[in-house]
Amino acid sequence: MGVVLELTDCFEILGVQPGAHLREIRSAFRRLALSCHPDIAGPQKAKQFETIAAAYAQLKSATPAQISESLKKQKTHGNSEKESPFSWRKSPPRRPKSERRDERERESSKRVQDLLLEKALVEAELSMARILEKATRKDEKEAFSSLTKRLLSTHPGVRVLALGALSGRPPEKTVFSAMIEMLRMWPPDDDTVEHILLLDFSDEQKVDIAAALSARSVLLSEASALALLRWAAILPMKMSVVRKLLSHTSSRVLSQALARWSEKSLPDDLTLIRLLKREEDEVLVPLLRILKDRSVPVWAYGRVKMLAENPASSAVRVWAQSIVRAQNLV
Amino acid sequence: MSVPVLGIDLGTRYALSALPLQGKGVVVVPSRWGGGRTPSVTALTQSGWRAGEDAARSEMRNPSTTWWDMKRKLGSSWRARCGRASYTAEDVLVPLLTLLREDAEAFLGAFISSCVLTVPAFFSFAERSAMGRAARSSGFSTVRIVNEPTAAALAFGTMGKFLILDYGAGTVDISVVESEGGVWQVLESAGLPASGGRDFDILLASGLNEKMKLPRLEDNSPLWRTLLSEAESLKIALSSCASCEWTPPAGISCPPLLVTREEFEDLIRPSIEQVTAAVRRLWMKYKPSKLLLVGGGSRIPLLRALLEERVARPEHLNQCPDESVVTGAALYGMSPTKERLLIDVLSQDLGILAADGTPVTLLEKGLHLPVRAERCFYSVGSGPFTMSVFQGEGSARRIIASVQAPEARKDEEITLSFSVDSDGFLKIDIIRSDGRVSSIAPLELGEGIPSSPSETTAEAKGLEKRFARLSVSLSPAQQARGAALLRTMKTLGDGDSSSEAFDSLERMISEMERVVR
Repeated sequence: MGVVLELTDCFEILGVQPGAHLREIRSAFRRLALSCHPDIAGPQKAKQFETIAAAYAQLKSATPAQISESLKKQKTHGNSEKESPFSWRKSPPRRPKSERRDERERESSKRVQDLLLEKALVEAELSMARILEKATRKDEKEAFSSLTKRLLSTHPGVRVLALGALSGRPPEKTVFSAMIEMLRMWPPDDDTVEHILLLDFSDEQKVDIAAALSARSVLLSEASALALLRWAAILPMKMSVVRKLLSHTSSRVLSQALARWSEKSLPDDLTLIRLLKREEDEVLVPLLRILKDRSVPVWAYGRVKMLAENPASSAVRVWAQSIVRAQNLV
Repeated sequence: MSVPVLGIDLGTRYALSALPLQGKGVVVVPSRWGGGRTPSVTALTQSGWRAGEDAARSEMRNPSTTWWDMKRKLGSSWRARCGRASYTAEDVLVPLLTLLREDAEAFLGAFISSCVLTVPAFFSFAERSAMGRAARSSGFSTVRIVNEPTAAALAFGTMGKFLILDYGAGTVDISVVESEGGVWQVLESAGLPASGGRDFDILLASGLNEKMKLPRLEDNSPLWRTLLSEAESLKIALSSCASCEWTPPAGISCPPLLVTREEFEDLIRPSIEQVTAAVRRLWMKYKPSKLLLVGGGSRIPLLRALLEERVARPEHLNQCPDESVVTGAALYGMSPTKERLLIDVLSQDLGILAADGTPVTLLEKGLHLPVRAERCFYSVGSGPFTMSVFQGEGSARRIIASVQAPEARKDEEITLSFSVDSDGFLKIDIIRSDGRVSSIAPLELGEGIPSSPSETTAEAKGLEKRFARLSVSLSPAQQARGAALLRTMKTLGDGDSSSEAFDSLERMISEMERVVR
């Protein structure tokens, strides 16, 4: 230890009677520690705790002989130093007038000085506040990095938590790219999709998100696929989302996607074949409507004719028959 | 520390984490696989790092890139090799700590950025900072370190003086703690170099190997790993029954073997004897009233019997012995209040080696944390010099860091300042005679890591001195404001913002000096 204390001082620091028993000293140390341990009282008390700990360590290691010797020394020492209780305190003599005037002048100059000092302090405080603000902006960057880390976490709960923490403002660039990465790495579950679609994005970001989500369209659940369709309806590139979602398995998603089909051309052949094979009328009706508005490819004639004769559902039959009539397929 | 604080008991074999919850006390966080504990295993597979049960499951498939027992290798020159890449023990721990943090975050529903980590009492400051670095890279911004047996003492909330033995899978620690009126004071903490429960697995597995009359197996062979996990369950079973029949794995032509408890006890007796002797020594020294056993090893019947015979009857615990350490860590992480304050001690001597190799102790063991010591040294030669910082005493003395100090004159006076904060980290300041200060940040201690200290100018100190000279002509309120400004400047660390802050304070102080004059 850097500090070496007199044993008698140690007793004083710990606030116990000189020559107290070790047990008493120990509990005094603990009592004091409760009020000045830096964990409780903050770092400004660290010095005080250091002194107390040093005093305690010294007393703990001291032998009884050392203690009694130092106590003896203090007794002989203390008597000579004591001040006489009978000393009178003299009142200060009155000062002449001129001195008093000087004092007044000094006082006014003191006030000016005070003001100037105050000004310097305030200026420094203001600039410090500005610097601190800049530093917190840097802290924010750190917060972003912690968000990025959590977006790429292996635990789905943590990923949703991170998305929840994002809400309210458009995500920063690095965070956004982490989000895209997350969608690439993990199959998007309902919670993730719901959270993402609730976020505020800039227009370019929306395009990226739509592309990333629709790329995983096969893995989306029915509810999130429908939500994605609704969300993408106002985007300029909604047709690519619709096209991707035509490969979904749920009939409700297919019917919604087909209802939003607004292009002049038909969906590509493979998709058409797959869709024409479906039995559900909620898929077939919008599909036949699209086929009727645009031209029916030659290879599909057979299937359309079959649908016109096969009376599974009257709506399908009516739409198919109208195509047969219009195209003169008989 | 920002709440919530996660308490982590990163064991050799299993890791646990716990959180203090409002109104529910401390709750052990369930892992994502459902159990309360996570195997401390990390693996590097083709799809990246894996940890916990995922890694344990893939152990048989890629035994050479699956690692456990990272804790005992912290701070050493050990490297995990995978192809051409090599990783230090702290790198390997990062995925595991990240996993624990994520489980706790998902459990709590909030981000967690601070933690309390428990370490064995014999961990030096180099190992502690390696642990701190691992925690920092896995997303914790504030880290505290506490000794394992000490944390267990905090979880055990009775008054009086007691001795705690933490018998873990890899480490064995003893603490003597006295608690009175809300203050837990550690009297002594000691770590034993004895082998832990995991070493018993290895002993038993090689015993089984001999019985099956097989050649000695390689460390990475799948059969050896299977034997190890079989030995672990066999060991646990032998704690509650006198003998156990074990069927060798399929493919080995060997009849079922009968393993008795006596046989197993003969294997482990030497290390148990060693532990008992150490407990007895501390028991005689402090004469505590209670003996507590925590950790998985506390279930070994032989240990209990020997302790009862030679020391005292172990106290009955009202909680799971595996969870006491982590519960204590979570309690330690709660903001300290008047009801619960832990005063920890330094468990080993700390000092530097002088030019002729004689050790000079700066901080003795048994001092209460936080602690700080300063001492003046004279350099014997000129030019740059290297200083070795050691920890421990006698034959157990270890060099934990060698500090490169720049240029020194002959006979120059150099003040060394060692401070250990209550977070359990060591900071070294080297103050030169011309006022320059170079320091080693708490988390940058250790071998192989930048040992040249970061040089900071003494300008900040100069400003403080000038301000102190001014303060006679300032009102107390103004003094406090000025001091607050100086403090803020110091907290900014280094970088642009700190130099800006320095400039603005410099302007303020010179303005004030002008006014006062």
